Amino acid sequence: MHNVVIIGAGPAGLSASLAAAAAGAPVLLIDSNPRLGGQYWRMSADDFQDQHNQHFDLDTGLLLINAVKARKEIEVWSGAQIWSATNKDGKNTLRVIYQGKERIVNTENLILCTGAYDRTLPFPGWDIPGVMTPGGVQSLLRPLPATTTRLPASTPCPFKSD
Amino acid sequence: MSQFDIEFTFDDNTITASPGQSVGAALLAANLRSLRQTRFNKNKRGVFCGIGVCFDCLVVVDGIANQRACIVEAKSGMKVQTQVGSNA
Repeated sequence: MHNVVIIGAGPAGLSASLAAAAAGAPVLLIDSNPRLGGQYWRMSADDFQDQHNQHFDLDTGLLLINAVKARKEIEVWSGAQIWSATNKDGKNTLRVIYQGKERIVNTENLILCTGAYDRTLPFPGWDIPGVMTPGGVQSLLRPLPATTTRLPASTPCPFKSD
Repeated sequence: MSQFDIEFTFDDNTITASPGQSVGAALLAANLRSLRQTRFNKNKRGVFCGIGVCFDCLVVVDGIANQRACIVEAKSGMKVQTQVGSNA
């Protein structure tokens, strides 16, 4: 039984997990990505080159990620998808698809660390394949060797690759 | 593992990917942008948000529909297909 359930394994979720575990609470950390770190420290494969040039302050990220992995009080569900979250009489119920099966998680202590993403305002052609958010472009480039990508930006900043 | 060791198929195409690369990223690198067709008008859609929140890049992976190409990591031998509608 988990005392604290945390959604999101980015900087906030990792930190919250460690704080709760340090206070003695069994923690369940649920995240949609295959690896810990969130969008901020979005990790590519573990055995793939040095990734320091792709991240801001990866040292802190690795410190948090390794600390979470080392704590036996923290159970991690990576690659999970929460499709329903409800609250009734102070009890939270999550329905989670994890490893191909639906799990139902009940908890009184839920911490949301779901982060941020680009807010896109619709414009004609925004649904054409090849039109992407800047955040999307950044995440797609991440596991590749260092490349120089220039993204001309203004406000708003629609980006169409050609 | 070195770069581009991973090989999977997308419909009739053979695609190579680096370890850790998502299916969507590998397909874009291969200049394949159209990943699914909408339910009613069969309009083409592809990777949009790139981080798993918009659900516009849905593909069929090894027979299972509604997989986000931008989240699923490319693995050797995967069979990825264009999703038409809800694939029902």
